[in-house]
Amino acid sequence: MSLWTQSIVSGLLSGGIYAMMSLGMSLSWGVLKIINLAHFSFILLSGYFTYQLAFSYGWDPFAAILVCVPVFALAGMALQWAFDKLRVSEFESLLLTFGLFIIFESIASTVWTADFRRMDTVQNPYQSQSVWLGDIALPVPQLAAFVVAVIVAFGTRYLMEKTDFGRAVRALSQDRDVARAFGIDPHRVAMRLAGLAAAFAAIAGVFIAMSRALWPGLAVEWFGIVFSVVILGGLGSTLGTLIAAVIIGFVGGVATVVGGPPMAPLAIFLVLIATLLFRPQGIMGRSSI
Amino acid sequence: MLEVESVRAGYGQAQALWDVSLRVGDGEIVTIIGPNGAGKSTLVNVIAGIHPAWGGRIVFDGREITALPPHRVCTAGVAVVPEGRQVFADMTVTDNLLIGGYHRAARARRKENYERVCEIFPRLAERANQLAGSLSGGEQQMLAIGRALMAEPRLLLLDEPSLGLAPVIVDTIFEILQRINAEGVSVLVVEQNVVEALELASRGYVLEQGRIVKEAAAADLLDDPDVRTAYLGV
Repeated sequence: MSLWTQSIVSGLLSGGIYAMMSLGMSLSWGVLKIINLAHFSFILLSGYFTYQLAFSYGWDPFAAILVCVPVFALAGMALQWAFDKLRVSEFESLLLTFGLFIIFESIASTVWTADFRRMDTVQNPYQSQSVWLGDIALPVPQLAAFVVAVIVAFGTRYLMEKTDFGRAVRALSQDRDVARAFGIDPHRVAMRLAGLAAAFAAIAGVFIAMSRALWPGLAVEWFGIVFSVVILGGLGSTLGTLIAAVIIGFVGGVATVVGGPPMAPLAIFLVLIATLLFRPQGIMGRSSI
Repeated sequence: MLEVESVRAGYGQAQALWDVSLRVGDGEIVTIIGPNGAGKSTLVNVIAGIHPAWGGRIVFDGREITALPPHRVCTAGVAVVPEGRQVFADMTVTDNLLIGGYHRAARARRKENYERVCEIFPRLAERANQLAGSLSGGEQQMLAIGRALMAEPRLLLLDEPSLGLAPVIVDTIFEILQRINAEGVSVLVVEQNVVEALELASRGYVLEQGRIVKEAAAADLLDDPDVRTAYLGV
């Protein structure tokens, strides 16, 4: 029984990291109409940066957020600037960023080789720490990722609903021409949004590095999970993404207990297929998508 | 205040405007009348920067705005009330108005402007938290005008504000336009509702097949035999 509870709880908790990885992807695809595979590269590279800062300079992995967030936010903005200049369509963005993804993966294998990279317990004391709820262990990296993901999701929702930036984003996605006629510069808004999405990727990368070993091919493994979460949550919906990430984490956790770790991806993809069949707009998405 | 000189524009191969020239003086209400498909909406969109001009010049307050993107035209002091209202249907009335006052120059006085718009259109204040898409046509038109006023324009461009509205509401809207004009905003209104438009305006232009074919004082256009046969069926 305790194995059951433990697996389900860690499944739910991993929803935090899934949400952190997916929030930026959902914004990018849902609002900017850019299916940004380089988002996965940002997560991976941010993970490597975290590892390197700890390895070379003894930085606390949490402190890596201070470096990774601005670096990748700028990278995301630069990329969006290029997409705008090239007038990249939704489908072209998939092809273009797939190329970028391959390039970034090669860079990662050149710099950090194909070996597993993991911070040791001195560099990253958090990986062996847990908060205990009775006899259930909540590993600190996953717990922290979960808390941060919830804060980020609600923060983004507030940003979208209550601020001028959010109103500008919504106005642009409803009627681009009229929004422009009222002083909204679509390129500026898109760059800021892309910067935000990349910042979320950077945070996700830090938590990934804190909780597991890195290798260049790791990013491919995230495709299935992140796209399942993004589609289940509804494109562009922050709250939907958070809920979907927890559901996917839960499903993965249950499947692991029932059929062992190989069952988790199967169960997650079944959820994705069911979503596409019965509710393609996702749990919180608009029916028009 | 606004000078349009020999503007040409179109879509792909199809030219829609040929050497259109017109002028709106300070504090004036000017109307452009003409049949469906004459290029009236194209002209509004070209002035607002939404649609590119192929040639010619548009000068606003002594400053050329021909090739400016729409958000810069807006900052320069021109606000649009687009054809068919085009309010942001999935946003609240308040959010629509706040978008109107988005640009930096207007943002500083957004609260005052909001109160002013609510005073002009009490209906909007009553429905502040409703989605714009749930409003009636007349209310959406009020919202579209209110949104434009939030941008603190010195020139208000209206594209067929009477379209699809009951006559009594059209009267209300035109009275409000008069009041806005009296407060110092110049108005350029494109209309098919010829009588109302010419009664509101001081001068008018007739646009047919992409060309200005007539320019006169509004009262003279109302008496013009060509205009009467073509648009009033008299």
